[in-house]
Amino acid sequence: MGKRLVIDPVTRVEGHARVTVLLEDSGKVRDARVQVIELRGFEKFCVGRPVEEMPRIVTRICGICPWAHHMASAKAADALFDVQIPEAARKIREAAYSAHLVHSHLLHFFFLAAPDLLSEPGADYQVRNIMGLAAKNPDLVRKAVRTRHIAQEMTRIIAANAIHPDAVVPGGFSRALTEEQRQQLLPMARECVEFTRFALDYAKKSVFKPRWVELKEEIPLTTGFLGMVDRDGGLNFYDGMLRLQSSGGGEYAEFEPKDYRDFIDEEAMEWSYVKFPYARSEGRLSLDPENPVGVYRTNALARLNVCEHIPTPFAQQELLEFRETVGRRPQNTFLHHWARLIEAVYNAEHALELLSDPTITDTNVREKVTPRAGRGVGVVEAPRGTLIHDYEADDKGFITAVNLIVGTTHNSAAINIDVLRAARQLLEGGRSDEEALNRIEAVIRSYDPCFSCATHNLGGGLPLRMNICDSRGEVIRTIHN
Amino acid sequence: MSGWVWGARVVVIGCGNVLFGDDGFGPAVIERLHADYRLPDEVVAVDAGTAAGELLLDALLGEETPGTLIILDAMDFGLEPGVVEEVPLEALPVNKRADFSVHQFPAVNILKELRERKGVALTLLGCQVKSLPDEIHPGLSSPVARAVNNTAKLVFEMVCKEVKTQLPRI
Repeated sequence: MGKRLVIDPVTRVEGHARVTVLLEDSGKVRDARVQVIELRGFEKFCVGRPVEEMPRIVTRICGICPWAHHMASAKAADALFDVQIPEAARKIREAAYSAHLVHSHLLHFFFLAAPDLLSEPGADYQVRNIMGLAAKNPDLVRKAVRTRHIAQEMTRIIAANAIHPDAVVPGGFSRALTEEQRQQLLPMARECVEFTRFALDYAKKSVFKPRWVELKEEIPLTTGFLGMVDRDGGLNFYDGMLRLQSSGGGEYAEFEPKDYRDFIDEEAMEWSYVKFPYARSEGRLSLDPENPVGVYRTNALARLNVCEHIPTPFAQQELLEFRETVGRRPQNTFLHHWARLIEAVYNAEHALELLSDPTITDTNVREKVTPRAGRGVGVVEAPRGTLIHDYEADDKGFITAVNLIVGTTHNSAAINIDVLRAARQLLEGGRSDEEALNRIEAVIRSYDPCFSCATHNLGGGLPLRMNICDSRGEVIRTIHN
Repeated sequence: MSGWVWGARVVVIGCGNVLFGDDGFGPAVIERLHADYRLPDEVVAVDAGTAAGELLLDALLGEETPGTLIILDAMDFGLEPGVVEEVPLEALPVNKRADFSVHQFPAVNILKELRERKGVALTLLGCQVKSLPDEIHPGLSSPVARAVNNTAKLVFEMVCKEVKTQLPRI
């Protein structure tokens, strides 16, 4: 009989997750599972509600990525109502969404990832956090926070409510952007471009390039990738085609988002509430770390791997340098961080580009919608990966079925395999110190996972705790922060 | 930059997920404050949903911090459902002491740093829940719903007093 080692829950990821590492008596790691507490009952809750309510409801799923749900939901409703939104509405939606992505990507890098990347391995938990980072780099952190303020203020100016947006409506946008607002937003977008470029430069010099020298010899998990591209194969977060690249390398399937079921299948695991999507073309899913089958990843690295280019100048230069350094289709999980900051530059540039176009203030921002029976699929690239909202409705416009696949769900298989690989490397021989746990956590965090946004209260906690249990399930050792 | 939240002298934050029963207490109080009261200009009341930690980290690390912060949330401390109490930071679970989570309820460390490093006057008001559903199920229980009005009134009085005492003498 083996021992069970539990890390519960993971700190500094969005929501809750439990990591269980199963040890043999010899101390060898037998298996590792990342178990997720899913947002349950959502489909049941939605059935019978008017389609047009959905974009407002879904912002409550998650306080961290409300814009992605809001956007995907409105796009699903557009598709269901078979409406083409006005061009100005598309531009406004994209400008707001780009600003949100800057806000979110900076959150991940500075608040969640940087404490791991910029602290010494094994550093005390009391300094290995954003406060420790702020004490060491006060100007950098202050500027990051200022840019986040600016990006969020941009979404507020455009959409009135930044935390729980309600301005994206089926058929377009609820209000036009005025010229005065455009003039107010332009310098803010410029400041976002300036800081994201600075942050990327800083991170390349202090973290990405030095760390890559150490990591490039590692044998990474090899998977396929899923991401959205525009009609020219350029990076796009708002609209386009989905590309599902095989784990073998260059081959990919490119399809309309509405056809995702033809390319992605889902499998249930007895130990997890979350379904595990996999590439249908590979016929099955295997989480064997030596020979994974059907596994693909989404998120920043996936997006950069599936696109041909980035359609904004500074980010494109960064992509070229990235590829020159790490190759055309790198697999190393660590590179999510580098890719994410390149995406932050792109989104800042894209917002500036959209706001520089005076036609964004066109007052025709909403088409009338008429209820009809049918199905609508809305897909965007959320900060954490490809986000799919799939709705069906009756002829009165009431929801009859809902299917959501969030970015973290796409990554379920890969996260599990990567954690097992890390556990085998770090916990061999029964080792269970905090540094090893921190590094396993860091593997999970590199995916920027969002493990559902369920209930919470003052008594709830997000501590890091490791229980080592003997073969009878009794705790023989506990380590917590 | 004139901050949307952080330019204000007094900030009231309602935490909680309205999709999960009594967890929606904080947002419900914020909604009532906006519907029934005219808040002074220096006061911002925001329904932060499950993003309060992110907002507060920005406040802690940024250039603009409010003088007074009132946080409203659901709690489960074994009291009568609907009882609203001021909760001392020290009463929060000790296992949150080192957590700088940006999600859900702001970690105690963030709040302590705001109080000690930035000198923010901090009040936590918790409402004892009747129950919290396992699945999505919006809507407050009767005792918690009954507490919303009184809490909104209490918060309004608190912010008015706060703003008044902070106003410069003419």
